[in-house]
Amino acid sequence: MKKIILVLALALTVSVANAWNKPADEGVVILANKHLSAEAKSLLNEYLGESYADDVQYLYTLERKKIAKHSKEIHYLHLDSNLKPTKVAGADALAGIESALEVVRGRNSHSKGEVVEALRTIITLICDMHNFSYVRIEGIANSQQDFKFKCYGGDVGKRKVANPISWGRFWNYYAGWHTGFSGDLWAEDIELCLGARRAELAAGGLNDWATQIGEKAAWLYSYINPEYSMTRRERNELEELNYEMMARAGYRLAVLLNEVAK
Amino acid sequence: MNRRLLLLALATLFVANSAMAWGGFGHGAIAYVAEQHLTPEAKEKCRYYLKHTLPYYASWMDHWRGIAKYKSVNNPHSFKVMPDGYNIDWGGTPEGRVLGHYVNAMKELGNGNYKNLPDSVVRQRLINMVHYLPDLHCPVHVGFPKKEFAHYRYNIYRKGKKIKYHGFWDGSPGFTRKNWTFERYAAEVDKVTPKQAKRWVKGDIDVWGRDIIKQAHRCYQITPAETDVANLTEEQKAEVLRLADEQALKAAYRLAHTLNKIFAE
Repeated sequence: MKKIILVLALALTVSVANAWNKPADEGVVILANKHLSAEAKSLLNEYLGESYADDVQYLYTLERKKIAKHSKEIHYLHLDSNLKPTKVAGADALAGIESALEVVRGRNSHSKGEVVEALRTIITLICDMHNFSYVRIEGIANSQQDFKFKCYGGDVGKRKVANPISWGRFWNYYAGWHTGFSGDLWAEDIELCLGARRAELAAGGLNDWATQIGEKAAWLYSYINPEYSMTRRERNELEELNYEMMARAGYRLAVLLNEVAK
Repeated sequence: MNRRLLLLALATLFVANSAMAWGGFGHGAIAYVAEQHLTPEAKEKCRYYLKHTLPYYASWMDHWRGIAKYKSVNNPHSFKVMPDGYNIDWGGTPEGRVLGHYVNAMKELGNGNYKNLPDSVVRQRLINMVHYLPDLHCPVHVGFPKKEFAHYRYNIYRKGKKIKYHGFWDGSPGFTRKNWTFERYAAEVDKVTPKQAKRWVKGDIDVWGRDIIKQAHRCYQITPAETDVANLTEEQKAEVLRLADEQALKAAYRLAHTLNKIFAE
């Protein structure tokens, strides 16, 4: 019995690890890399090398190994009822990014390990905060814990059946549409599709981004709830929003890294 | 929670993961390989109309299936064979079948006709082509007549549990290739020589269709009735991959050839 519980717990941990999935998160970093200044590129190369496969998993790996010093809430973007970030130290994505940015800025007075850890934290959390399953808004009960809603397989024939899906799983779901995509291919595809809108998608700073994400999340929470049944068409149309959030994460990560590398 | 409920939850979790993992891999890999063989002009045109890479749209038709409004997507992604088991059955309404889509798309887009169409129409025809042409090459998308080929209707198993024959072969390019990327597939599997590629793309859709039918018979020899796919020998696994890869690569080269032809200046 204990073994079964352990396997189930591990399986659940694996399924929630990463904002989207490993290659998609890696794609976000590769996308950012395409827009880094020479200084930022050399900073990333010096501390992280050329592959980001382990970096996008960093905080999750610590949690899996049970050596994490942070609360799991660090993956979540916390907003008040006016959609302003609350930034609880040690238990909020935005607060985590800000303190990690400080370490990178003062890298000359930190060990290499600390800077590596900070860069990895920024990468993981910028992905997380752009995934709607990691947004908690004060006053919106459904944002405080995972919940299930129904999703139709179609509106004709045998597909006209609604199956339950959790909010957390739903926002991982689209990355699974593209099984076989590498990080490089994700980055190439996003750049091809949304590269022309990069300036608009990356405009503003951390606080603006948080509020903007909160606005979209609040709109989603306003109609998707445990009583909601989503059509297949709606599900497909939301993929575009999810894809745009990946692009925003990548372009905004480039902005942050360019700024701290100066 | 009792033991049975826990086991059920565990099983559901793994079923959901595996169904998602294999569904799109073959289509994406074919589209990726095809993209590597596009002429610079064709690649530029495809990217202009699609605003995405070819692999991005490889499974679009499957995702949008089941929505009544998208009638063309809901038509069968397969084609029929004559009772002789070797020729295409062009009867009925060809528009309703995957071969008909190909013929119509070529009429609409070929000979420079795409230039006279709205961008959105060209885009949709390309999305259809990226999915339908590979579907055509999948051995289980070849519809053998029920009466003459009743012996092709049987069950296969995985670890003693009945699974769908169709589903197994649909996922065959990803069989034993967990976590492969399309790049890896192209690097390790696409060893096609220019001479072989030339031979594959020769002829028209009727020639390709008959070749596909001929190959489709092979899958029933490789995994006959009562096969348990969990117990396949290494040699049998290699046979599955050989057929899957040959069909996938033919689809990729023919897709690239078709797009190159459409967008040839």
